[in-house]
Amino acid sequence: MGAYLARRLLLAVPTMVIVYTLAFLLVHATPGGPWDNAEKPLAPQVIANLKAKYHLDAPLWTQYVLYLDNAVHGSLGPSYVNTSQDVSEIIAEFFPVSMQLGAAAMLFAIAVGIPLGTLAAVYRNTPVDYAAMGAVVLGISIPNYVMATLLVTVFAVALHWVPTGGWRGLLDIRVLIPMVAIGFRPATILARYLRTSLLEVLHQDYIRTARAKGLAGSRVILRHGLRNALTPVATVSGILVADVITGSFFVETITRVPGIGRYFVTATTGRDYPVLLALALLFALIIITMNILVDLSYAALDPQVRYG
Amino acid sequence: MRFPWEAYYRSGLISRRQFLKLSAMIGSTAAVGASAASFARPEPAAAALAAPAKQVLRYPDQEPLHFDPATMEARPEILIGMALFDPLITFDGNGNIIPLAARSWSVSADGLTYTFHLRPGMQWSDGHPVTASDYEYSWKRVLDPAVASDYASAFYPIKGALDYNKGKTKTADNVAVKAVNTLTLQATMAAPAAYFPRLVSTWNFMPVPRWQVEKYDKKWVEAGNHVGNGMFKLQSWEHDKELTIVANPRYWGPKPTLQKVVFTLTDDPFRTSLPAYENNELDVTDQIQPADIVRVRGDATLGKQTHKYRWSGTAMMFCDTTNTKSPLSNPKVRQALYLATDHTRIASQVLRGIYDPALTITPPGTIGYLANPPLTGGVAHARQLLSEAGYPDGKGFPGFKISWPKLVTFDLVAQALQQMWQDTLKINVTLQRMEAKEFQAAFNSYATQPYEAYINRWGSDYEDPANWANILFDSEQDFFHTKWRNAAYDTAVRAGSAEGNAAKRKQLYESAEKILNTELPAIPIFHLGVIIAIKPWVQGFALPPAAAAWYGTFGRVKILDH
Repeated sequence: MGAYLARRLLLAVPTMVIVYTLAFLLVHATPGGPWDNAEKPLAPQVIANLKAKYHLDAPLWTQYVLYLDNAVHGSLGPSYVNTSQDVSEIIAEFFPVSMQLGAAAMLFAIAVGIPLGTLAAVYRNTPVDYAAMGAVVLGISIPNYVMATLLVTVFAVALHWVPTGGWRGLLDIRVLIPMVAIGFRPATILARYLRTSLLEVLHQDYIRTARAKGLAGSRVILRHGLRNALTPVATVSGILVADVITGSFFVETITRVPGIGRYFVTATTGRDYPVLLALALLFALIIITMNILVDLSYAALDPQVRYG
Repeated sequence: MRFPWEAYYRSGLISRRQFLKLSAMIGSTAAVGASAASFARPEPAAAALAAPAKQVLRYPDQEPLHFDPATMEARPEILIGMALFDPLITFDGNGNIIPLAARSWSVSADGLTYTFHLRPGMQWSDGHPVTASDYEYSWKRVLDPAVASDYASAFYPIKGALDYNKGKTKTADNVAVKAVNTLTLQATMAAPAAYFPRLVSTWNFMPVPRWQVEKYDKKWVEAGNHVGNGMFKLQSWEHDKELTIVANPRYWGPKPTLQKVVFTLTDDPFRTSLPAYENNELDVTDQIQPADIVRVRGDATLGKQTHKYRWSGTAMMFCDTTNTKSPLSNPKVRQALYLATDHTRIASQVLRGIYDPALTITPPGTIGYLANPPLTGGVAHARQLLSEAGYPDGKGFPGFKISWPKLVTFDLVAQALQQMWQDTLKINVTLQRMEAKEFQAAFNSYATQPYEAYINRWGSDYEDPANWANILFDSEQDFFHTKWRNAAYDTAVRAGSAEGNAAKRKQLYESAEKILNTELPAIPIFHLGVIIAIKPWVQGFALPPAAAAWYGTFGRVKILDH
């Protein structure tokens, strides 16, 4: 187990370098730089001063090495756009918000997805199943930013039940709309996986045995069925967590949540190179970590899996 | 307090009695009373002022970058920043100077040296005295190459400024700005610049507190460290969430009625402010978008709360005038396109009345504006000019490509122009929308622009031709890369910028404007404007026509009882 973990962590290093290299090349290959200002084109002398200040007048490979070197030593550089802040400050300020929102959305997904999937499996080919699977199709086909817009229009503008947006922590009512908007799709994905795996489990011999022994239907499903059906679902959840944290760009914008996803959008349109590189690295790190955790969870959940 | 069933009550699903009963069952009686009262009187009947504690304006904004006058450049910073600092002088809507931090000013006979006399006894928000040296330090700081200010070029009229900003001179000692004594500031120009007072009224010329800048470096702009000399001061700033400014008790001038402005910060106020306003989370919206305007106008409540303001600026189609492969190098073709453009239809139908038609380039309110365009004759004249240019009935017209940085209004305008010219002149043009940065990179490459014409706009920093003719169309500037050169135009606008006599100055710029609007290196399309919604209890709020006129905008607001 320890050796396996060490090997996976070591492999993460070249992955990160590849991500950095690709991100660096893409960022610099995209037309337009941080000071190709759309509103007021700058005087040439002013651009020269800015480039000198941020080392953008150095050759590309120097910039590549310089940023990597600084990043390894913990300095992610100043933001080109938000000049009063360093990138690490921006991440420290906004990333926790995305983490909290992601956690809330994931809890919502589990709280909705597990019962939904269970009901669909137990009442297979009945209206309950069709309704649940209908919700799944909706969840998979409606992008979360459309969902967010719909929720704001209905519950804030028309019904006045909740504010249209903002962020005051997890315990405030404002969390509801972004939470549901981000969590709905993962909820339906979980339901879909759970339905399939529960159906498979319910046809196993030991379920028949349990029933034959006279156990109540709900007990069979909850104790014996669900427990075994959840292994593949746990795997999917891990990947969905990474998805939920890194994929909330537009929902954060629409519902005015000061998270890191929003920053990715503004940094892209503003060509804020250091922020873009840092966020690419951060998101890569989250996805790699979640993948490792998922693989480790196999061993915990399924006794047949062993890592040597 | 709001109850979920309030909406049912409003839409008539439940009666008022049921509403009150429901509310009484759950909420406290006091809350119901308050809520019921607000229902009985949705519009304030009596215009009584709200109590000081309720003198709060809830306003949308983008996350500002910072409030450092040296590097402020965009609206989110400017609208708040101009409440936090006092410029030396400002201008009223008629172009008259209003003294602020400077109680008087004078210019030497040769038009080169400006002397500003500061008010005695002014204090910064932390109690430091405001002195002429503060201004001297601040102005020189903008020019420091290490500060790398985008707006350093605004200071180039000052003698020695360009050399210092370029790094030719290592210290700021040769920049001709000097605090003669505690309350007297003197600035000497490299050449006469009649528009210098206008420049001084802009945000980059506002002072910074040297002791805070030196102590906290770039962190001096954060709440707690920030010190200003304006009517309001920065109280709190939660990034990307909320920012609060409150009346500054140390301000030298009249105290505002409004005590506090709470800015809700989002990265897209254009789209998020209208729903928030409808849900009563904001008192004012940001610019209402073309997609929403029809619904807003038709809405019984919202329709009455919308206000339209002029924003000094013009959207134009800029032409590459020297590329001989392009038909646009022929002035007659440009004139034909201009005359075949139905400006009224574009403004009122395509853009749904948000903007006004622009028949000439310099916008109203700025010296040089022509109410009557020099070119007339409409479509008939347009066809004749196109024929004279060698394309009778559009025959043999090689076409050209129009690009623009992605923006809804430009999308609509470009498609409308394509259709109009096809219908009237029987010519084809191709359209290519570009992502903003991609467009700007192509624009900045200058020589290799992948289009023959592009649509863009210019909004005034301050309402003066120095912010138009001189920096945009003078052939030495060629700001828009039209490569247009006209000696008579250059002579007129250069004379205008130095001319101290107002009548003569106006005449010079109007003659230049006639040349510009006959040659048409840029085809004017619409003048900028803004439509916003304002709650009925907000009194005295009006959007200014240019960025430098933001001064005092919040100071004029009063909140009525509601």
